[in-house]
Amino acid sequence: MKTRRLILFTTIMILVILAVLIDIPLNPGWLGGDKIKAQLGLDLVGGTELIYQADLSASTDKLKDLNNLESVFSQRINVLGVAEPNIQTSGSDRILIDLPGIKNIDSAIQKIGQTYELNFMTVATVTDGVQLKDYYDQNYSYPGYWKKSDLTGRNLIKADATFQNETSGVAGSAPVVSIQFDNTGTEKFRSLTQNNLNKQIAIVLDDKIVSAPNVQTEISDGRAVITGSKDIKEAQNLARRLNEGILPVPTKLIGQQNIGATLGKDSLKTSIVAGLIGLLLVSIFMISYYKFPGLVAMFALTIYAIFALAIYKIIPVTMTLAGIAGFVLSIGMAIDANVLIFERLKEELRSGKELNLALIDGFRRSWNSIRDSNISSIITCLILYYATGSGPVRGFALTLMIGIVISLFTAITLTRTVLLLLASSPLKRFINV
Amino acid sequence: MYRIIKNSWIWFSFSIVLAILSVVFLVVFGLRVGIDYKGGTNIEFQSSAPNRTDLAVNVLNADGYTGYQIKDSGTDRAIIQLRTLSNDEHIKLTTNFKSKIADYTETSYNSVGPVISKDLTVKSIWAVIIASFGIIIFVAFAFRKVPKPLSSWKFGICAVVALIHDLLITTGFVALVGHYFVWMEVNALFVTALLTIMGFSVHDTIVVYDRLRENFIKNPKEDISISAEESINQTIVRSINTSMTTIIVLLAMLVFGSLSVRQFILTLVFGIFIGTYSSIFNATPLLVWWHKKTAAAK
Repeated sequence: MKTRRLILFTTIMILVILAVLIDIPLNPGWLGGDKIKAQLGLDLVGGTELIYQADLSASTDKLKDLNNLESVFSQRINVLGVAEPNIQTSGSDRILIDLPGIKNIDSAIQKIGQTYELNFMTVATVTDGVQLKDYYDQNYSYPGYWKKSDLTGRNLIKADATFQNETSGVAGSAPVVSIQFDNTGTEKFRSLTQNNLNKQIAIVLDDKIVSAPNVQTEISDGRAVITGSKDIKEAQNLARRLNEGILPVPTKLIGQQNIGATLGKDSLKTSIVAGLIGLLLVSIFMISYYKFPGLVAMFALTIYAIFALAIYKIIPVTMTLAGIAGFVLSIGMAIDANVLIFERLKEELRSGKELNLALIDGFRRSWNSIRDSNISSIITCLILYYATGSGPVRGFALTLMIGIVISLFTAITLTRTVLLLLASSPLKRFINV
Repeated sequence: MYRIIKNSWIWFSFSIVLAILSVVFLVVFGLRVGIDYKGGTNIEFQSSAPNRTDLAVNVLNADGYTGYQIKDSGTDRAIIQLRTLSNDEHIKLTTNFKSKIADYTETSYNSVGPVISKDLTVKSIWAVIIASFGIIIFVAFAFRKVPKPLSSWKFGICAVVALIHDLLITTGFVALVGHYFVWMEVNALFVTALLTIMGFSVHDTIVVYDRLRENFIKNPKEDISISAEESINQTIVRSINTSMTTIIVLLAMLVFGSLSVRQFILTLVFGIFIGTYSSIFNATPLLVWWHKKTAAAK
């Protein structure tokens, strides 16, 4: 019996050492190294969370459009230089963007959500058309009047800067931007070129004419070139602008949360300090009330905290203020198991049982209460996690639930093993609740 | 030996008074519904100016805002709740605040569109309903082997009555504190706090019920009042000690912790306190009273 307990105790201690190695900020390479690191939520580091809603009403493949939107957002965010942005889809039409530590929020919002208006316009008259400026020289009014066609930038898949001869095979090396339409766009472009043979079609970006070539033939492959760039650099700029401006579906910013960086750091620091003070006060209470077993319980609790933090880091659970609150509450639950056990132990000892037996019976009898009460807490956590689905609530439920599961292990297996080992050692006379 | 069951009527009257007061607070003061649930914007700012809320009100009025709410949220902070702002409106308002309020710093800005809020409200209501039923079913199941004439459904329902009592009184407390003292609002974290209080309350109640079942199985002939009195006395130290440790940790967080979760922690501390009270003084006495009533009717 005693050997088995010693083996169990040693195994737990080895696990504790592993967990400590994971907990420390720079864990060794063979334990995951950089890959495992603490994930801190925005409320602890400061930053901005943006919630976008996509208008998928006109979409045929909603999932694909949403994923495309997500990757467009990712590209745009990558150029903002935010250290660890987090972009994820949420629900059927939302995209959540976390930008930790970002400073210039307003310009970031503009860059992320920017759209342009690309139109293909046809020749019109004074009565049904408008006059437009030139894209490159905004003081210059482009001759003629123009009206919109049904073909817009929404049908654009991509734009590339290239040289004319590479695409058309015709001699000459003028820099151009070649653009590619999607299926709908290809069809629209075909009928547009068919109806406007030998007339001009203007390519209009944000109400300014980039170029207005003459249609020489019907184009049915969904490709077109935009000429008029002075050099390849200008063509590249235009292509980038077109690519950046492509949003697969219309979107709207429906939620925003900014947390100042100092507030975040402050929250993290104060939460850690508060947690430690709380733990200290609880230790004082437990040790003064339950004496030596109280000390064992605090030992188990410390190990519990080490395990819990390691598991939060491995999963990883993004730590937020609500998450920390969940963790702290789980400490309460972990202690509860020990309090239940000690109260039972007291009764067993009072009824005149010998220490070893009293310990075993005390653990056995308190198990029902511990099990039932913790299951009901786990049920609440599961409901919180799945039914509410919002960030802070989920974080809270997850840390609390993980905490309860680990505490069941440490408060019972660990306290039990240690107390039983002590009961058969010279230290046994200290065990007196 | 504490005479809990014997004095049931004292605890019942006390709880009924608290419950009535809570309803009064809720009706008279009302709850401040957070933007999580109705959409809008929360701006929390820091400023050393003692009259910061008055200064902010001047700016808001001058800019033509109506229907906003404002209250201090800490020694040097205040929260403003107003309608959803566009990015440009937010920039303009911040500039105006900065020019009128000494060392104005926006510590947090939170804006929620009506779409999100509608979603959350529905989800939260469901969460509470599902959790209540989940608990009744779980308790009824956990106590399915309870000997006749006790009914395991009564255990479940009494546990839930006790927790509804806890939730009602906690909500009343929030209405009171939110009206007179600091910013309190019904947001996602408030609902989290309520659900946690539910979990704790049932957790505590189950420990007492568990003991009652054990004593009843050991001594089935005994009058239920006596078994219940015994069970409460056997578990009361544990109930108080456990809540004490949890409340100690929470109080540490309340005093030393981050302001951002102060409302959440305060709600939890009060709720856990009430939950412990009800699991000792309400849940079991209620079960005994109900059991005796049905037994007498037979």
